[in-house]
Amino acid sequence: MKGLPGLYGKEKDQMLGRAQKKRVVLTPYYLMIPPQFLIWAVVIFPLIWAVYISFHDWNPTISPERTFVGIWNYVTVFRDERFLSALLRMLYYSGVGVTIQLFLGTAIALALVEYVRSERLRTFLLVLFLLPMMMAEAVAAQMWTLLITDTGTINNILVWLGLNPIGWRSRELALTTLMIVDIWQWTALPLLIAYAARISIPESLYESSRLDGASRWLILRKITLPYMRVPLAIAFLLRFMDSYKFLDKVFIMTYGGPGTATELPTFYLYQTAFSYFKVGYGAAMSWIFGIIAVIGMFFFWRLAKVQ
Amino acid sequence: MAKVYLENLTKIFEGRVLAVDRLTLEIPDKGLVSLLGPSGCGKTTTMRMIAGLEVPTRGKIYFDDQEVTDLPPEERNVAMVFQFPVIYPGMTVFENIAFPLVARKVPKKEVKKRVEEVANVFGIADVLSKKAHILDAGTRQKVVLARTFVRRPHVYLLDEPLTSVDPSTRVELRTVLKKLQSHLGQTMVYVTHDQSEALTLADRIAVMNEGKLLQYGSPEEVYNNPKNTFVGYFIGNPGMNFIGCSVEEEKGSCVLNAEDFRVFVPDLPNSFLRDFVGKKIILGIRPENLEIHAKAVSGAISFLVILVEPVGNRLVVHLKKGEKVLKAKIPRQEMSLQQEVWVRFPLEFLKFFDGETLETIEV
Repeated sequence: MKGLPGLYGKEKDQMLGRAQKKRVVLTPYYLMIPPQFLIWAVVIFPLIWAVYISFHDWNPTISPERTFVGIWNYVTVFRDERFLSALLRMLYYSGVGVTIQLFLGTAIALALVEYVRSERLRTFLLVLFLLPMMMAEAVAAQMWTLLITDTGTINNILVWLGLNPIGWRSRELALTTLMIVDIWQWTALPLLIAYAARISIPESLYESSRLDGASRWLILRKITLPYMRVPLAIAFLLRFMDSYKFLDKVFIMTYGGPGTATELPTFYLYQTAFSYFKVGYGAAMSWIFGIIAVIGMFFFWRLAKVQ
Repeated sequence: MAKVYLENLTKIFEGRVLAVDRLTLEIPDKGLVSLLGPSGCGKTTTMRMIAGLEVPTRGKIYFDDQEVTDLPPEERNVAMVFQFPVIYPGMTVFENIAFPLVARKVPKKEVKKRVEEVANVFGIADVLSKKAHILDAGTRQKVVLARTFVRRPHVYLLDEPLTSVDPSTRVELRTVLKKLQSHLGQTMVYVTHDQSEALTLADRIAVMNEGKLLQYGSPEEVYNNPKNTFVGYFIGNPGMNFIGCSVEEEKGSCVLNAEDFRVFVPDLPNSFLRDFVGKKIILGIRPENLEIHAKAVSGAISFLVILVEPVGNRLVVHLKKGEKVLKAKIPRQEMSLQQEVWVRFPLEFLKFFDGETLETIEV
């Protein structure tokens, strides 16, 4: 029993010549029961249940019967080309998309601080850039759906400018279109974080480095960016997590199409489990997708390590 | 390596705060000039204008014969040390010191040589590979000083660089700076509110108050012949004693009547005081120039000791007669409170200031 929290050591009592008694304070444990219950009920049990399901073949619309198939579902996931290409699409969509958001956001934030001297104008521009982010995802998606049809506003403008209209929803472009819309809506988040990081850098660093004769480029590389590394890493992570679970715009704007051109893992997962009702297979897929996230996060933290 | 000339330099912040008022000052080539004054006197603003960090509202700045008023800081080739150490975060001590050289694309070999050289001078060669921001404030300021002296700018600007350093290091660094400056033969402007620092370091001292230049001269000049009561009070530790008196004539001699006591100024070749008969003047005398006697001597006035402050091997004694309080700085000796002493005002050390303008009266 030695070493339990709340228990006094036997030896200690003996050394102090005290009568031996065991006192276990239980109140903290009682107090933890309700939240523990909730966590187990809505998080941990479903997770374990999903593992259980993933070893079975089960279509609840046909019969409640679950057929045990062992690790067959997992094997199938790795042979499922539709899943693998969805993963590749996500890599393109998130990798390129989030990088552009981060780059643009940082550039705009730095430009605001560097070139916009008037405090009022700066605030106004900042609010302007934040507006898309305030819009509900579904509303933004609906709005853009109307803008990008073949005879939509954007193509009309292109024609008016004497350019060729663009097939925004074509097989080749649809995923990129989604990415652009996401950039339009979410660049503001890294912008906001970068702006906060930039204005927290002491002005004396800039004064001193200018006196040392540093060019703007050198100051950016050696002072500004190193100072902003951690906040930017966090901005990247936030946006990457969002794009990892990205679903709303696909759902509304393309429904994974044309064909499977915009089918991202989350959407395919959703389809598998809730449209085709291959529940066991969907559970296996979501476990694999989840584990990839954990591994990815681990490597990201190591790369962006805070000293 | 340049003469710095400030012409009618004026800085008004936000259209209403007058920080520097028509300052004209010539800092000679290879000179070490100290800008001295209390907080808020405009000395730091002056410094920042020389550096190019502030744009003057009016007036001009010249380096040698070239006007630099509108040049940005990076094109002026000046080096500046701020009051609090500005360390580039995430860089090692070496990288910090090398920064100005890297900015000027000096070859790597040369950078290494020069950084090591200057690190030795400031005694930080053993921490070159450490991250600079983890060091204590004193060492950080040494890094900054090293970064300043690693290159050869037209002029070094130091803004109270030793304030954030602990006292023992301060004395050590003061010596290093003085040696470096004379060794390198570089122009240096040193802002300080510490008059003893100014007196020990500078070739010339510019005393400022409320944005104006009050006096500009060698340490001896500003110490011995303060142009007005402010300079007299600000320079010296403790500052000059001032006694308001009216000038009276008595049997061909001049008598300064301070109500509680009278000071005789015999035989008037001191004709300059003649013009002030019947007027108010201010008599000034440095605490270290007062003569204190334990017994009555001729021409001495009796005072009462009300406070004794030991300062090293000296005593600062506060003396009172009636409403008047004087401070005297004397060699360490037995001195007890309420003791009666006799004070003599040696004629050669008396300074006279106009009672209205507070400016010195030329002898």
